[in-house]
Amino acid sequence: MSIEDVKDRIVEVMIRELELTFNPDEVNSTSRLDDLFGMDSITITELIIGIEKEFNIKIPAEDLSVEIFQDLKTLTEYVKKRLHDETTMYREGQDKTQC
Amino acid sequence: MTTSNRFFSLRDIGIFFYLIPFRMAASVLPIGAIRFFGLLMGHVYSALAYKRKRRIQLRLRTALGNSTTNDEIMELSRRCLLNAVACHVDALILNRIGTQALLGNGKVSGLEHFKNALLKGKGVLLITGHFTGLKMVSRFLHESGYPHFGIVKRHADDPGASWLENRYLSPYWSKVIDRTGHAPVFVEDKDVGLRIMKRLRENGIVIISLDVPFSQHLLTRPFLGSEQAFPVGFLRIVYATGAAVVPMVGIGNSSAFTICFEEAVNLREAARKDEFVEKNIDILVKILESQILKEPSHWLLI
Repeated sequence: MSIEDVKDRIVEVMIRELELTFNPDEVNSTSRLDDLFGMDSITITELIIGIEKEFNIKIPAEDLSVEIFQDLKTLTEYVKKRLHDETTMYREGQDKTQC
Repeated sequence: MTTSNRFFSLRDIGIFFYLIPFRMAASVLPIGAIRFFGLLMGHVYSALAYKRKRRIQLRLRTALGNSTTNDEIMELSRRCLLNAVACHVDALILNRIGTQALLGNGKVSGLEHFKNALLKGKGVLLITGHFTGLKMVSRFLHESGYPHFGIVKRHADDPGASWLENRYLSPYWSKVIDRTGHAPVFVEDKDVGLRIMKRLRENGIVIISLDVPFSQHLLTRPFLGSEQAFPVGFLRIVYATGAAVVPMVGIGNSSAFTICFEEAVNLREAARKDEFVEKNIDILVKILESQILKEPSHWLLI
């Protein structure tokens, strides 16, 4: 999945799950989540759950920090990395099972 | 920010004595002597603070209705003031009391409800109000190995306080009295939601004081005969995470306290988060009301 696809799906989650109203075309990667979308700390926790469902990933407790959620770019990069990590872990698990 | 017109008030003298000479004396004098002095101060305060006592009586009358006699209201208001003073005095000596001695002075009930809620592995929100034993609860959880934190509000100007209190005394109070022990989490912090979620994901505990509107998300509900705004942001986190909500009351002080955990709240399900919040805040406000009505003289915000 490309980084653009990940970003688009995160924006979809914001619109669908969080019911935020904005024009997706106006969104750029460095848009701050709190400024552009008016997201507060509680809404961000709802975004986390939405992202986990959308991408079928689990964001570990130690990763829950403001740095990741400061703007769309850092969030997209994090989700992309998480997807990669979880796929790698899954493959390693399968390899061990086959052995 | 609101600022008072007054530079100084009589209350400042009391706060000053509490924060400086009395706090210093409490760090060296025998604990029994401090408690005795606190009791004495409580009686003096109860006799002098007639305006506050009158306000408490009116609140109690509204909350308890006409089934309570005037004599009972008077006695309750006197005990409210005594307990409030005892609570402030206790805050000065709490850290001097060892774990075994402290836990020996307390009675904890319903711990199985709390442990059962933790077994679900989604973290626990302890719902309570500002009762006299809140510091005991925190100490009990800490000593028992349960990681937890409470949500507090940063110091803000009180329009009824003098300039001196707002500028110096109140921040100093927060620094030396309220923030001893664990680092608190502030409701104003940008990451407050993330920190709550993180703690819950670690299957930890977050204490929510429902009786103060410390949230950007508020709903007004009937409460003790009038109306009050309640924080509901935490309910949205519960909706998202499935964390357990356990009502809890801690009353008393370090010489004798009780902590009671109730059964986890059977929250009503809803298809939408707003509906979930609307339905369940009513349940939680009723629980808080019943906690207060059981022990009105131990509720510090009366």
